[in-house]
Amino acid sequence: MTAMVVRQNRIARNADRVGLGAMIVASICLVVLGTRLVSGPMVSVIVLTLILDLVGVLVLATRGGPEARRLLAPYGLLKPGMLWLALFFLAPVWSLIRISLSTKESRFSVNYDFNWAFQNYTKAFSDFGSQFQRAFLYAAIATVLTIAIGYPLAYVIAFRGGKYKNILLGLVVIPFFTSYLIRTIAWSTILADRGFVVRAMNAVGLGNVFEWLNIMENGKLLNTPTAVIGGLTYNFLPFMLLPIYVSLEKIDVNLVNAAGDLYSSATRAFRKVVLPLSIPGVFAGTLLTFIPAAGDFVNAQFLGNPNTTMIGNSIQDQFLKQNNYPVASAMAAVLMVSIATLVLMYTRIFGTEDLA
Amino acid sequence: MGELESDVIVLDHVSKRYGDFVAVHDANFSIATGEFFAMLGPSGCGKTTTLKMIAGFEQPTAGRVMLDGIDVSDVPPYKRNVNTVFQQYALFPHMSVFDNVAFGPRSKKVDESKIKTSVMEMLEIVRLSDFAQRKPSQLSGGQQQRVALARALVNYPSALLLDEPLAALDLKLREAMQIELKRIQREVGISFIFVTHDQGEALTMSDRIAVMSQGHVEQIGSPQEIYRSPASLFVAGFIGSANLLPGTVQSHDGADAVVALKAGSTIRVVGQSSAHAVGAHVSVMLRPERLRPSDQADASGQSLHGTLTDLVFQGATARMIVRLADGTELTCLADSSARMPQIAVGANINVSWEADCGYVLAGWPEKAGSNTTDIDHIESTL
Repeated sequence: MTAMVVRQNRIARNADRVGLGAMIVASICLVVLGTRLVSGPMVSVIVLTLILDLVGVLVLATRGGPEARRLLAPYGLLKPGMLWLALFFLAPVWSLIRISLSTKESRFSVNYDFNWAFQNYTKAFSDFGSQFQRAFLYAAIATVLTIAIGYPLAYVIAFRGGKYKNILLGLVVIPFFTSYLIRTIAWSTILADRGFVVRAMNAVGLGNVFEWLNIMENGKLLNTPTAVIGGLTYNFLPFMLLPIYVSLEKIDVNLVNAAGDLYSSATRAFRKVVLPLSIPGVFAGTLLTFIPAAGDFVNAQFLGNPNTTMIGNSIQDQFLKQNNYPVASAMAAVLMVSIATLVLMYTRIFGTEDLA
Repeated sequence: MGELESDVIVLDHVSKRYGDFVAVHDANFSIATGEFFAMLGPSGCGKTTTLKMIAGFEQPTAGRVMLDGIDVSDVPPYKRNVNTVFQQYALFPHMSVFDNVAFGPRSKKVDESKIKTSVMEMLEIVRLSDFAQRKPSQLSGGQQQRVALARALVNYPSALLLDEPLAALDLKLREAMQIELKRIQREVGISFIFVTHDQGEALTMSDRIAVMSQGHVEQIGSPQEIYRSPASLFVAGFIGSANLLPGTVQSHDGADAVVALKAGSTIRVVGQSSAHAVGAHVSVMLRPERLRPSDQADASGQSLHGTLTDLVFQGATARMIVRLADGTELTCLADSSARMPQIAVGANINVSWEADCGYVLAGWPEKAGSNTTDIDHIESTL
């Protein structure tokens, strides 16, 4: 009896370790279940482990006394998020990588054989290299354009908006209450060959200039790279504008006054004070724009042509039309890794640790 | 107003209007080289607007601002040789202390080696040499204040403008910084023009004070002048505390004025007859620390009789509230030494004063008796 009490006390004192352990075990169980790594009676064993794990922690929390509860609390708060990520992020990524290294007997087979099939990756690069390149190029151009359009707009709203600030921000955001798809399809009407934009361009004689600049092709605006990049720019503009606005809005106007007081012209004050202080916003905006834009397939599908397909379109095509999961998974994995690498490089170069 | 060689800044009949609102009305004064000049007044009196017009952040609607003898009314801030210390310091958060201080010289494209010497020299003066590589966020309020000073002074401006420079500091630090500011000013010999709503701060630091109210400059003078001979009831009440007793000039007796107080008694005010005609509505100002409480009656004609309603021991002094027969309350600040009469609260008391202590002001105050700067008002502007 005494031995049991002592044992209980020891568990209660180390409740934080118990909580951490239980969280890890539960996450692993969910990943195993989610990826269907085991079959047969083992599934029951895993499910049982998961239930015991959850119940055990609950018992410890209710019976272990206030000290144990205090130690368990952080893991209690972390656990829902961890389990969510285990089931809906770790398990899918695991499956994705597994399938990307598998082969299947025929196109119509539903079973995969995991056999370190690196040829899927070779195929992803050799067959879809240009789509990768295009995705990163288009996303990069669109990101630069969103900065070029979004920064001045955010600047004006933040510093000159006055009492209209919120209304102006509202006007930026309101179009995005409509579905992404519908807005993109709407652009195909606007940019259509007989649409008013193309007609207006031709009427004022800009058509030839744009043709020369490779903005228009054969008198068309729709189904050109311009339209795809334009669509990306339009769709991701708020994701650039809002972080920049937030960082600009925080800047004390007196800092600009102080720069002026210290003999700086407006240009120098902007370059030395406003711009450096708004870089964190540009940084956040770039990540929020570039990452989804690089994987986007909607704009290229509705506004592009077969020569403007981005990697997102190819992945979608391989998954849903060709039913070629292994190669599609390999492409998705490559996309993920390349974006992560680019973001890491970007963070190294423009890292924001130095900013107060 | 004559424009002397030694005047750094001349405000020549300067006014500023925002629509119908007159922020500054006909400010007309000059500030000498090396002077510590305060603009004092409650919030909304136009002192900050005046400062901004000198700095160049605002343009006057009428009149001229002269800097070193040149009209700069339309010259933008970055071309004026004055620098401002902002209320919240406005230090650049992304730069080190050194880079903050070097900002001005770098704008002027001074040689980088010279910048290093002058910045370190200035950091020496404000005693922050060891903090050159810190970020402003790593400094205390007082240190940030000194960085702001160094950043402005390193440019050797014709004048330094300070907008409520100590308002963001707590009381102890504020008192220490008052002395520090005065020392730095003496060391660099540059005119300091500072704006404050704190009369104690203005009295402590300034060579001259301009007291402002509702856009008007009420009085300009040394702290002593302003304290002893305020130009108006507003100044009397705003600087220190004052007992203001409304009355009517009854007669002139040589240089002395005989004033019949509304409170009932008649008192003689020495040397005050010339400015106020017989029959004029006036107020007699008596400073609390000049009043002498006593349990003895006094027949000099310079005493009042009332009841002691409150006695607050404050350490070196004791504050007494005396209610006169008509209900007017006087504040009396007495030395808390043994000389203080033993009077119980509720007992009759006599207050008298030296012959030269009374001072006659035109007009009647809104509130008779004790007037001090409204504490709530001061706090609301902090």
